[in-house]
Amino acid sequence: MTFENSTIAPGSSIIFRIPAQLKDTRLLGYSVHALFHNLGFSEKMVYQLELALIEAANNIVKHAGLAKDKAQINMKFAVKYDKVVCTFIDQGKPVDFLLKESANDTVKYVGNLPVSKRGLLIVCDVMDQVSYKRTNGKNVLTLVKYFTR
Amino acid sequence: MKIETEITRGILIITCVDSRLDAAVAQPFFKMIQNHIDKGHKHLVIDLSNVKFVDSTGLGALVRCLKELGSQGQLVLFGVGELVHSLLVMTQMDNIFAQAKGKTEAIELLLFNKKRFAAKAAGGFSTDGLASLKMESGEEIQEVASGERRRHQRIHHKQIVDEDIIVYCTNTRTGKRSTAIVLNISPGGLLLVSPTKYMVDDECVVQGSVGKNFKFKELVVVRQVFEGKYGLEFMKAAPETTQFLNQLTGAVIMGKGQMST
Repeated sequence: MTFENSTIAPGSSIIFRIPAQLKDTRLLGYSVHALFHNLGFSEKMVYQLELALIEAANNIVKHAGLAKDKAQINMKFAVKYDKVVCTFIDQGKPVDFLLKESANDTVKYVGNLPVSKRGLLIVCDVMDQVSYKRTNGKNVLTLVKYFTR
Repeated sequence: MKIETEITRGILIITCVDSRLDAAVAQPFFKMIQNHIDKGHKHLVIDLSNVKFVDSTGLGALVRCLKELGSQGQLVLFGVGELVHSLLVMTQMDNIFAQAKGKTEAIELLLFNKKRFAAKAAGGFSTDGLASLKMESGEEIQEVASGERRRHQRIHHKQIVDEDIIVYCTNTRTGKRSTAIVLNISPGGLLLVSPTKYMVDDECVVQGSVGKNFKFKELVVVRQVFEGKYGLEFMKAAPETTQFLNQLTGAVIMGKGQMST
């Protein structure tokens, strides 16, 4: 795909703030679904991009140790000329998303199947770039998807 | 997550009414299914026709159902849309979950496997057990005459592994996917028994594994049909498949010059 399919101008951005609870991450999902759709991504890619962002948000809720009532997750959705950059920022405990153990691809028998740990696999599979850093006491997770790849 | 349940031919069919199976509902969804399993329903069909979005937590709930059923039960999914299927492929779960195209096929698949389990529990898998399987036309399985000289030596599945070798067979003409049991195998092809009917010259994609480490997905053509048993020939089998089966059966790869006798 190219940016010509998009109805959203490059340089546009929007910031989402949602409660850090699993029941609320779907709010983010519905929103980014519409954005990716209007950026001209295919139906399948829109689903997978929504999935990747939901997985990232769920991961923060589950592992960042945020206070259940007050904590929030911020995500900036920024459209550039050649890519979409999604930046998650939270104030939870330092958790390097990329060092977490993921379900590997060698498990093929039901008894050994992990019921979790597939989120990272999905995020890395769908996004073109995934990076994590700790800045000023905050976790910053950046996911990038290029238009033309 | 709202679900609806019905029992058809002794099989519990669970229909997911909502469009999302995600982290918000995965836990209660699993608990509901676990309740049914605890009540003795070990053969489940889950209808995902309404479900448009599944995340890894929702997928984890389905995996937990599978684990909860263990070796005594079965789970078949149907109505898996293209998008949700892409998640299964991405996470390599597409080969873990038995899938059917519709409710009827899902029930047939479960009943077929249920009979196979019953035959096994009654004294192991045998040709007698196979004969008790109901074929599409109601006919019974008979032995295939083995007078024909073969290019490849076949090896009986019991010489390879203790358990039955189950494969998925997709007819490329009809798109119908079903399970089959491998009776024997060679570098040239397979002998299968299946409740689904195939015709000579039908092309199929056969997918399965032999033992724990060898997996294959090969295009085959049906060469022989004899009352529920099907002789299939590999069409350009992958080198890994050929090499594995050569080693398995002790076959020797001979050049043209060496073949003159």
